[in-house]
Amino acid sequence: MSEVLHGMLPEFGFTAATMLIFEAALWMTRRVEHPALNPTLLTILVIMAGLAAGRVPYPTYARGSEPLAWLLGPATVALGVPLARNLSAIIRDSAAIFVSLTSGALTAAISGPLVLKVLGGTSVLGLAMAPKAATTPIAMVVAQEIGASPSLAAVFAIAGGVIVAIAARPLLGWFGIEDHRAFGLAAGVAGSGIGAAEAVARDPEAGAYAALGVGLTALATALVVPALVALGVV
Amino acid sequence: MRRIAEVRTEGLVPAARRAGRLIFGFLVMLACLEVGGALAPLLPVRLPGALMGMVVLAALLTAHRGRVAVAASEAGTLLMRRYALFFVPAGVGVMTSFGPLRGAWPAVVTALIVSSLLALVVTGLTMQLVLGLQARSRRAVLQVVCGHE
Repeated sequence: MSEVLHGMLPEFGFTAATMLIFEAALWMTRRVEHPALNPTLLTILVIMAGLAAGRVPYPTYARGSEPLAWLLGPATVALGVPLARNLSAIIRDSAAIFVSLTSGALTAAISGPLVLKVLGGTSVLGLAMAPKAATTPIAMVVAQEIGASPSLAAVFAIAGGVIVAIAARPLLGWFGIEDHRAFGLAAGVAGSGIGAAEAVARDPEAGAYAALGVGLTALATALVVPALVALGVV
Repeated sequence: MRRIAEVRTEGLVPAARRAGRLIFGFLVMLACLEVGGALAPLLPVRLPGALMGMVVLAALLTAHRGRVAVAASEAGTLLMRRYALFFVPAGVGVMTSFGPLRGAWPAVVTALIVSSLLALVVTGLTMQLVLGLQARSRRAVLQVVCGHE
């Protein structure tokens, strides 16, 4: 018994520590309202620094924080709640959603590899960047399909999400995009789950359109990116 | 003093009920996840089970508005409030990819920022533009039909 406890306690301590750090980050970002202070990014950085300082390898942390990673599944399902509440509005706006989602998903898939190529990055990195607008598991599957590195694709998908979560409010505000539906869809399409979390925090209607954006962008990326690679665009 | 005690005993039963609803709602969420996971491989395109589960839950909540829906909505709202937390373990995994990115950092970070922001603005602007056009044409139709402003 004590042996089991001894083995479990430090590992699941990572779950508790992650939750505490995230709550502290939330509390801080609410006090100091600055867009660059994103609670997810802040938590990730603090934990990475802590693991590096304690020389803890990532797999140990991954095992210990597994309950949180597991909750991502049911939490993603939960996005169906705002989706159902706004279903009639979404059906009414389906034409607008189709047009903007297609243009946004295409922009994301083509622009990343293109900018990287211009800056002299390798095609290995470029290919892994093409599916980054899709939610992380889909980005990894698509990367595998086009012969890119799935783990790099996961890194790019998460980093893209964090960038979108940080930039959404100031940038969309600067462009005069005040409509909650446009805000939510843009955050979900460009930033998948992490972008959607930002939209959910802003407004339930924005959350519904973000949930839709995440789901449909995953679908669009799975369909379009392999075709873009076959055509030599990416 | 007496009032506080009353509130406490009154509050206990609803609190237990709420806890029960949350647990039930969470089980509904897990059931949707399972159904979504079973449906996902049947699709011609690969989608994660969780996304199919989201569709399953939305369909369930649209078709049914009883106790299950109330419980699922309540548990779902609670889960979504901390949605960003559940991405942290995967996000920390970035530290395992520092190797292949060595030397390419500036180009990769620039490409990520430019591409993500471009996609954000293109989607948002297009959406707002098309929604505006639709609203205007709807008003125009209304004016023709009704014959006045």
